[in-house]
Amino acid sequence: MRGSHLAVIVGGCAVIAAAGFAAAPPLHPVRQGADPEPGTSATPGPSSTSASGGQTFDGPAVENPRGVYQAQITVVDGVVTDVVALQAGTSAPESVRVNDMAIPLFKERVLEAQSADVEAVSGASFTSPAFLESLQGAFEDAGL
Amino acid sequence: MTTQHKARLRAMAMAFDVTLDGFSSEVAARSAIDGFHNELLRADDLFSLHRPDTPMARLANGQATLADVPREVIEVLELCEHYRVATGGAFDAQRPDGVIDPTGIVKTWAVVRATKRLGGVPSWLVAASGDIVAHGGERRVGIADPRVKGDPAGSKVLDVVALGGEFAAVATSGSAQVADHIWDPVTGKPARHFLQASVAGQDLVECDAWATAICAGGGPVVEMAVAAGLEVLIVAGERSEGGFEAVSSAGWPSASL
Repeated sequence: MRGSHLAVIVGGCAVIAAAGFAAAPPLHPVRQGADPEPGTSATPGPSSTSASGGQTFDGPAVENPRGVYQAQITVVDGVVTDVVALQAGTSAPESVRVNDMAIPLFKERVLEAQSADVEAVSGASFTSPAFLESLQGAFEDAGL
Repeated sequence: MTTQHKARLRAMAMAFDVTLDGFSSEVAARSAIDGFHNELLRADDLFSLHRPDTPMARLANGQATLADVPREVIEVLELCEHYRVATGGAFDAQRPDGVIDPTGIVKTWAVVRATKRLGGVPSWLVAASGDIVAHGGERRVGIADPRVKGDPAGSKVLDVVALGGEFAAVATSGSAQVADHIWDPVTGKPARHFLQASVAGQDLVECDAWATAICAGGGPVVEMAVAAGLEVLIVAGERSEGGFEAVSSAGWPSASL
Protein backbone atom coordinates (compact mmCIF):
# COMPACT_ATOMS: atom_id res chain seq x y z
CA MET A 1 0.00 0.00 0.00
CA ARG A 2 2.79 2.34 0.92
CA GLY A 3 3.28 5.02 -1.71
CA SER A 4 1.05 3.18 -4.12
CA HIS A 5 -1.56 5.89 -4.36
CA LEU A 6 -1.52 8.64 -6.93
CA ALA A 7 -2.02 12.01 -5.41
CA VAL A 8 -3.53 14.80 -7.41
CA ILE A 9 -0.42 16.58 -8.53
CA VAL A 10 -0.64 20.30 -8.96
CA GLY A 11 1.27 21.60 -11.94
CA GLY A 12 4.91 20.71 -11.85
CA CYS A 13 5.30 21.19 -8.14
CA ALA A 14 5.34 17.53 -7.12
CA VAL A 15 8.74 18.01 -5.60
CA ILE A 16 9.40 21.25 -3.84
CA ALA A 17 12.92 22.60 -3.64
CA ALA A 18 14.82 21.44 -0.60
CA ALA A 19 16.58 24.74 -0.06
CA GLY A 20 13.81 26.35 1.93
CA PHE A 21 14.11 24.09 4.91
CA ALA A 22 17.60 25.25 5.76
CA ALA A 23 16.41 28.82 5.56
CA ALA A 24 13.52 28.23 7.92
CA PRO A 25 13.75 29.91 11.30
CA PRO A 26 15.40 27.83 14.01
CA LEU A 27 13.27 26.52 16.81
CA HIS A 28 13.95 28.18 20.10
CA PRO A 29 13.05 26.51 23.37
CA VAL A 30 10.15 28.82 23.99
CA ARG A 31 7.15 27.23 25.55
CA GLN A 32 3.93 26.49 23.72
CA GLY A 33 1.53 26.88 26.61
CA ALA A 34 -1.69 28.74 26.94
CA ASP A 35 -1.15 32.45 26.92
CA PRO A 36 -4.39 34.08 27.89
CA GLU A 37 -4.85 37.70 27.09
CA PRO A 38 -4.82 40.04 30.06
CA GLY A 39 -8.20 40.23 31.66
CA THR A 40 -9.55 37.01 30.18
CA SER A 41 -8.71 34.65 32.99
CA ALA A 42 -11.72 35.15 35.15
CA THR A 43 -12.11 33.29 38.39
CA PRO A 44 -15.18 31.20 39.17
CA GLY A 45 -17.87 33.79 38.98
CA PRO A 46 -20.66 34.47 41.43
CA SER A 47 -24.14 33.79 40.25
CA SER A 48 -26.25 36.61 38.96
CA THR A 49 -29.80 37.07 37.79
CA SER A 50 -30.28 37.12 34.05
CA ALA A 51 -32.81 39.12 32.06
CA SER A 52 -34.91 35.99 31.63
CA GLY A 53 -35.40 35.70 35.36
CA GLY A 54 -33.07 32.73 35.69
CA GLN A 55 -29.81 32.64 37.52
CA THR A 56 -26.51 32.44 35.70
CA PHE A 57 -23.49 30.56 36.99
CA ASP A 58 -20.02 31.08 35.59
CA GLY A 59 -17.73 28.07 35.63
CA PRO A 60 -14.08 28.54 36.47
CA ALA A 61 -11.76 29.68 33.67
CA VAL A 62 -9.95 26.44 32.81
CA GLU A 63 -6.67 26.74 31.01
CA ASN A 64 -4.91 24.11 28.94
CA PRO A 65 -2.36 24.23 26.12
CA ARG A 66 -5.22 24.97 23.76
CA GLY A 67 -6.32 28.11 25.49
CA VAL A 68 -8.67 29.33 28.17
CA TYR A 69 -12.22 28.04 28.39
CA GLN A 70 -15.09 29.23 30.53
CA ALA A 71 -18.66 28.07 30.55
CA GLN A 72 -21.74 29.89 31.80
CA ILE A 73 -25.06 28.23 32.49
CA THR A 74 -28.46 29.79 33.05
CA VAL A 75 -30.79 28.02 35.46
CA VAL A 76 -34.53 28.66 35.69
CA ASP A 77 -36.40 26.79 38.40
CA GLY A 78 -33.61 24.26 38.71
CA VAL A 79 -33.48 23.60 34.97
CA VAL A 80 -30.54 24.57 32.80
CA THR A 81 -31.93 26.75 30.04
CA ASP A 82 -28.75 27.93 28.39
CA VAL A 83 -25.06 27.09 28.12
CA VAL A 84 -22.68 29.57 26.60
CA ALA A 85 -18.92 29.77 26.21
CA LEU A 86 -17.64 32.94 27.84
CA GLN A 87 -14.16 32.06 26.63
CA ALA A 88 -13.12 29.56 23.98
CA GLY A 89 -9.91 30.47 22.27
CA THR A 90 -9.02 33.87 20.90
CA SER A 91 -9.44 35.29 17.41
CA ALA A 92 -10.22 33.69 14.07
CA PRO A 93 -7.49 31.80 12.26
CA GLU A 94 -5.95 32.78 8.98
CA SER A 95 -4.88 30.22 6.50
CA VAL A 96 -1.37 30.21 5.17
CA ARG A 97 -0.63 29.15 1.65
CA VAL A 98 1.27 25.96 1.15
CA ASN A 99 3.78 27.81 -1.01
CA ASP A 100 5.28 29.21 2.15
CA MET A 101 6.54 25.83 3.20
CA ALA A 102 9.44 24.41 1.32
CA ILE A 103 9.66 20.76 2.14
CA PRO A 104 11.41 18.25 -0.06
CA LEU A 105 9.79 15.09 -1.37
CA PHE A 106 6.26 16.08 -0.61
CA LYS A 107 3.34 15.76 -2.93
CA GLU A 108 1.39 18.93 -3.37
CA ARG A 109 -2.28 18.11 -3.68
CA VAL A 110 -5.66 19.69 -4.10
CA LEU A 111 -8.25 18.01 -1.91
CA GLU A 112 -12.01 18.33 -2.17
CA ALA A 113 -14.47 17.34 0.53
CA GLN A 114 -16.21 14.22 -0.73
CA SER A 115 -18.57 11.59 0.55
CA ALA A 116 -16.75 8.36 1.36
CA ASP A 117 -17.56 5.08 3.01
CA VAL A 118 -15.46 5.23 6.17
CA GLU A 119 -15.73 3.76 9.66
CA ALA A 120 -14.36 6.80 11.47
CA VAL A 121 -13.11 10.30 10.77
CA SER A 122 -9.91 11.84 12.08
CA GLY A 123 -10.20 15.53 12.86
CA ALA A 124 -9.23 18.12 15.45
CA SER A 125 -10.59 17.09 18.84
CA PHE A 126 -14.25 18.02 18.77
CA THR A 127 -14.86 18.39 22.46
CA SER A 128 -12.76 20.64 24.55
CA PRO A 129 -11.98 18.97 27.86
CA ALA A 130 -11.28 22.35 29.40
CA PHE A 131 -14.65 23.75 28.33
CA LEU A 132 -16.45 20.77 29.78
CA GLU A 133 -14.46 21.00 32.99
CA SER A 134 -15.54 24.62 33.29
CA LEU A 135 -19.11 23.56 32.57
CA GLN A 136 -18.91 20.98 35.32
CA GLY A 137 -17.76 23.69 37.71
CA ALA A 138 -20.75 25.86 36.80
CA PHE A 139 -23.09 22.94 37.50
CA GLU A 140 -21.52 22.41 40.89
CA ASP A 141 -21.87 26.09 41.75
CA ALA A 142 -25.52 25.91 40.75
CA GLY A 143 -26.01 22.90 43.01
CA LEU A 144 -27.17 20.74 40.10
CA MET B 1 -21.24 -16.56 13.71
CA THR B 2 -19.62 -13.34 14.82
CA THR B 3 -21.24 -9.98 15.14
CA GLN B 4 -20.03 -6.44 15.43
CA HIS B 5 -20.18 -4.74 18.81
CA LYS B 6 -20.17 -0.98 19.07
CA ALA B 7 -20.15 1.26 22.11
CA ARG B 8 -19.91 5.00 22.68
CA LEU B 9 -18.08 5.64 25.95
CA ARG B 10 -17.59 8.89 27.83
CA ALA B 11 -14.48 9.81 29.77
CA MET B 12 -12.33 12.93 30.11
CA ALA B 13 -15.41 14.87 28.96
CA MET B 14 -15.08 13.34 25.52
CA ALA B 15 -16.68 10.63 23.45
CA PHE B 16 -14.87 7.42 22.56
CA ASP B 17 -16.36 5.09 19.97
CA VAL B 18 -15.26 1.47 20.13
CA THR B 19 -16.00 -1.09 17.42
CA LEU B 20 -15.21 -4.75 18.04
CA ASP B 21 -15.33 -7.37 15.29
CA GLY B 22 -14.90 -11.10 15.32
CA PHE B 23 -16.33 -11.75 18.74
CA SER B 24 -18.94 -14.47 19.01
CA SER B 25 -19.79 -13.83 22.64
CA GLU B 26 -21.82 -10.85 23.76
CA VAL B 27 -20.52 -11.31 27.30
CA ALA B 28 -16.90 -11.31 26.20
CA ALA B 29 -17.43 -8.19 24.09
CA ARG B 30 -19.15 -6.41 26.97
CA SER B 31 -16.30 -7.36 29.28
CA ALA B 32 -13.68 -6.05 26.86
CA ILE B 33 -15.55 -2.76 26.44
CA ASP B 34 -15.95 -2.35 30.21
CA GLY B 35 -12.26 -3.00 30.76
CA PHE B 36 -11.41 -0.44 28.10
CA HIS B 37 -13.75 2.12 29.63
CA ASN B 38 -12.37 1.61 33.13
CA GLU B 39 -8.88 2.46 31.90
CA LEU B 40 -10.15 5.73 30.41
CA LEU B 41 -11.93 6.61 33.64
CA ARG B 42 -8.71 5.92 35.51
CA ALA B 43 -7.06 8.66 33.44
CA ASP B 44 -9.76 11.08 34.64
CA ASP B 45 -8.98 10.18 38.23
CA LEU B 46 -5.26 10.74 37.70
CA PHE B 47 -5.09 13.77 35.46
CA SER B 48 -8.11 16.04 35.72
CA LEU B 49 -6.91 19.53 36.55
CA HIS B 50 -10.42 20.63 37.43
CA ARG B 51 -10.87 18.23 40.28
CA PRO B 52 -8.52 19.43 43.02
CA ASP B 53 -7.91 15.94 44.42
CA THR B 54 -6.31 14.26 41.43
CA PRO B 55 -2.57 13.55 41.57
CA MET B 56 -1.95 15.80 38.57
CA ALA B 57 -3.94 18.68 40.11
CA ARG B 58 -2.08 18.28 43.41
CA LEU B 59 1.22 18.27 41.55
CA ALA B 60 0.25 21.36 39.57
CA ASN B 61 -0.72 23.38 42.62
CA GLY B 62 2.27 22.34 44.67
CA GLN B 63 0.48 20.07 47.13
CA ALA B 64 2.35 17.02 45.89
CA THR B 65 5.82 16.31 44.55
CA LEU B 66 6.90 13.78 41.95
CA ALA B 67 7.68 11.41 44.81
CA ASP B 68 4.02 11.44 45.85
CA VAL B 69 2.26 10.72 42.55
CA PRO B 70 1.43 7.37 40.91
CA ARG B 71 3.85 6.02 38.32
CA GLU B 72 1.33 6.69 35.53
CA VAL B 73 1.67 10.42 36.16
CA ILE B 74 5.44 10.16 35.94
CA GLU B 75 5.06 8.15 32.75
CA VAL B 76 2.94 10.83 31.09
CA LEU B 77 5.23 13.64 32.20
CA GLU B 78 8.18 11.71 30.79
CA LEU B 79 6.27 11.29 27.53
CA CYS B 80 5.70 15.05 27.39
CA GLU B 81 9.40 15.64 27.90
CA HIS B 82 10.29 12.99 25.33
CA TYR B 83 8.17 14.67 22.66
CA ARG B 84 9.31 18.14 23.65
CA VAL B 85 12.89 17.09 22.89
CA ALA B 86 11.96 15.03 19.81
CA THR B 87 10.02 17.90 18.23
CA GLY B 88 12.68 20.51 18.94
CA GLY B 89 10.42 22.23 21.45
CA ALA B 90 7.36 22.43 19.19
CA PHE B 91 5.40 20.12 21.48
CA ASP B 92 5.63 21.63 24.95
CA ALA B 93 3.21 20.93 27.77
CA GLN B 94 4.61 23.66 29.99
CA ARG B 95 2.31 26.60 30.53
CA PRO B 96 3.58 30.16 30.85
CA ASP B 97 3.19 29.90 34.61
CA GLY B 98 5.58 26.98 34.64
CA VAL B 99 3.01 24.30 35.38
CA ILE B 100 3.21 21.18 33.23
CA ASP B 101 -0.23 20.53 31.77
CA PRO B 102 -0.21 17.16 29.99
CA THR B 103 -3.83 17.47 28.85
CA GLY B 104 -2.69 17.43 25.25
CA ILE B 105 -1.35 13.91 25.46
CA VAL B 106 -3.39 12.26 28.22
CA LYS B 107 -6.24 11.31 25.90
CA THR B 108 -4.18 9.28 23.48
CA TRP B 109 -1.96 7.91 26.25
CA ALA B 110 -5.07 6.63 28.01
CA VAL B 111 -6.46 5.15 24.79
CA VAL B 112 -3.26 3.27 24.02
CA ARG B 113 -3.21 1.97 27.58
CA ALA B 114 -6.85 0.97 27.39
CA THR B 115 -6.44 -0.89 24.11
CA LYS B 116 -4.32 -3.42 26.00
CA ARG B 117 -7.68 -4.54 27.44
CA LEU B 118 -8.72 -5.45 23.88
CA GLY B 119 -5.98 -8.05 23.58
CA GLY B 120 -8.43 -10.90 23.02
CA VAL B 121 -10.45 -9.08 20.38
CA PRO B 122 -9.67 -10.22 16.82
CA SER B 123 -10.28 -6.84 15.23
CA TRP B 124 -11.09 -3.46 16.71
CA LEU B 125 -11.24 0.26 16.00
CA VAL B 126 -11.23 3.09 18.51
CA ALA B 127 -12.23 6.61 17.53
CA ALA B 128 -11.13 8.94 20.31
CA SER B 129 -12.68 12.32 19.50
CA GLY B 130 -10.81 12.65 16.23
CA ASP B 131 -7.80 10.44 16.91
CA ILE B 132 -8.16 6.93 15.52
CA VAL B 133 -6.41 3.63 16.17
CA ALA B 134 -7.22 0.21 14.72
CA HIS B 135 -5.95 -3.35 14.89
CA GLY B 136 -6.54 -6.61 13.09
CA GLY B 137 -7.38 -5.87 9.48
CA GLU B 138 -7.64 -2.76 7.38
CA ARG B 139 -10.38 -0.26 8.01
CA ARG B 140 -11.11 2.91 6.11
CA VAL B 141 -10.75 6.13 8.08
CA GLY B 142 -11.52 9.58 6.71
CA ILE B 143 -9.58 12.79 7.18
CA ALA B 144 -11.98 15.52 8.25
CA ASP B 145 -12.80 18.63 6.30
CA PRO B 146 -11.23 21.33 8.52
CA ARG B 147 -14.34 23.51 8.12
CA VAL B 148 -16.57 20.94 9.82
CA LYS B 149 -17.42 21.87 13.39
CA GLY B 150 -18.30 19.28 15.99
CA ASP B 151 -18.19 15.54 15.47
CA PRO B 152 -16.99 14.97 11.89
CA ALA B 153 -18.50 11.47 11.73
CA GLY B 154 -20.67 11.17 8.66
CA SER B 155 -19.43 14.38 7.06
CA LYS B 156 -17.60 14.64 3.75
CA VAL B 157 -13.89 13.95 4.03
CA LEU B 158 -10.77 15.18 2.27
CA ASP B 159 -8.96 11.87 2.11
CA VAL B 160 -9.23 8.27 3.24
CA VAL B 161 -6.49 6.25 4.87
CA ALA B 162 -6.30 2.54 5.60
CA LEU B 163 -5.61 1.69 9.24
CA GLY B 164 -5.17 -1.62 11.00
CA GLY B 165 -2.57 -2.98 8.60
CA GLU B 166 0.73 -1.25 7.91
CA PHE B 167 -0.49 1.83 9.79
CA ALA B 168 -2.28 1.52 13.11
CA ALA B 169 -3.02 5.11 14.04
CA VAL B 170 -3.86 8.55 12.73
CA ALA B 171 -4.18 11.77 14.69
CA THR B 172 -5.28 15.17 13.44
CA SER B 173 -4.69 18.59 14.92
CA GLY B 174 -5.83 21.96 13.74
CA SER B 175 -7.97 24.99 14.20
CA ALA B 176 -11.28 23.42 13.15
CA GLN B 177 -12.84 23.33 16.58
CA VAL B 178 -11.21 26.06 18.61
CA ALA B 179 -9.51 28.93 16.85
CA ASP B 180 -5.92 29.68 17.80
CA HIS B 181 -5.61 27.01 20.47
CA ILE B 182 -2.03 26.10 19.63
CA TRP B 183 0.89 28.39 20.27
CA ASP B 184 3.96 28.74 18.10
CA PRO B 185 7.04 28.08 20.23
CA VAL B 186 9.15 30.45 18.11
CA THR B 187 6.90 33.50 18.01
CA GLY B 188 4.93 32.87 21.22
CA LYS B 189 1.79 33.79 19.25
CA PRO B 190 -1.12 31.63 18.13
CA ALA B 191 0.10 29.20 15.49
CA ARG B 192 -1.43 29.78 12.05
CA HIS B 193 0.86 27.67 9.97
CA PHE B 194 -1.76 25.24 8.69
CA LEU B 195 -5.48 24.62 8.80
CA GLN B 196 -4.92 21.03 9.79
CA ALA B 197 -2.21 18.41 10.17
CA SER B 198 -2.76 14.65 10.20
CA VAL B 199 -0.06 12.18 11.18
CA ALA B 200 -0.17 8.43 10.51
CA GLY B 201 2.04 5.86 12.19
CA GLN B 202 2.08 2.91 14.53
CA ASP B 203 1.66 4.62 17.89
CA LEU B 204 -1.32 6.89 18.53
CA VAL B 205 0.48 8.96 21.18
CA GLU B 206 3.35 9.61 18.80
CA CYS B 207 0.95 10.62 16.01
CA ASP B 208 -0.94 12.91 18.39
CA ALA B 209 2.18 14.63 19.72
CA TRP B 210 3.58 15.22 16.24
CA ALA B 211 0.26 16.50 14.84
CA THR B 212 0.13 19.07 17.64
CA ALA B 213 3.80 19.94 17.18
CA ILE B 214 3.38 20.45 13.43
CA CYS B 215 0.50 22.88 13.95
CA ALA B 216 2.61 24.73 16.54
CA GLY B 217 5.91 24.80 14.69
CA GLY B 218 5.03 24.68 11.01
CA GLY B 219 7.18 23.50 8.12
CA PRO B 220 10.41 22.60 9.90
CA VAL B 221 8.50 20.29 12.25
CA VAL B 222 6.86 18.52 9.30
CA GLU B 223 10.34 17.65 8.12
CA MET B 224 11.26 16.32 11.56
CA ALA B 225 8.13 14.17 11.72
CA VAL B 226 8.93 12.53 8.41
CA ALA B 227 12.51 11.98 9.54
CA ALA B 228 11.07 10.24 12.61
CA GLY B 229 9.33 7.75 10.32
CA LEU B 230 5.85 9.20 10.31
CA GLU B 231 3.61 10.04 7.37
CA VAL B 232 1.98 13.44 7.22
CA LEU B 233 -0.91 15.16 5.44
CA ILE B 234 -1.03 18.93 5.78
CA VAL B 235 -4.06 20.97 4.81
CA ALA B 236 -2.47 24.33 4.29
CA GLY B 237 -5.31 26.55 3.20
CA GLU B 238 -8.54 26.97 1.30
CA ARG B 239 -8.31 27.79 -2.40
CA SER B 240 -10.36 30.65 -3.73
CA GLU B 241 -11.47 28.42 -6.61
CA GLY B 242 -12.62 25.68 -4.24
CA GLY B 243 -10.99 22.82 -2.42
CA PHE B 244 -7.92 22.88 -0.24
CA GLU B 245 -4.23 23.14 -0.83
CA ALA B 246 -2.48 20.24 0.81
CA VAL B 247 0.77 18.35 0.85
CA SER B 248 1.36 14.77 1.83
CA SER B 249 4.54 12.90 2.57
CA ALA B 250 5.64 10.29 0.06
CA GLY B 251 4.29 7.32 2.02
CA TRP B 252 1.02 8.83 3.23
CA PRO B 253 -1.37 5.83 3.24
CA SER B 254 -4.15 7.19 1.05
CA ALA B 255 -6.84 4.73 0.06
CA SER B 256 -9.25 5.54 -2.72
CA LEU B 257 -12.12 7.83 -1.80
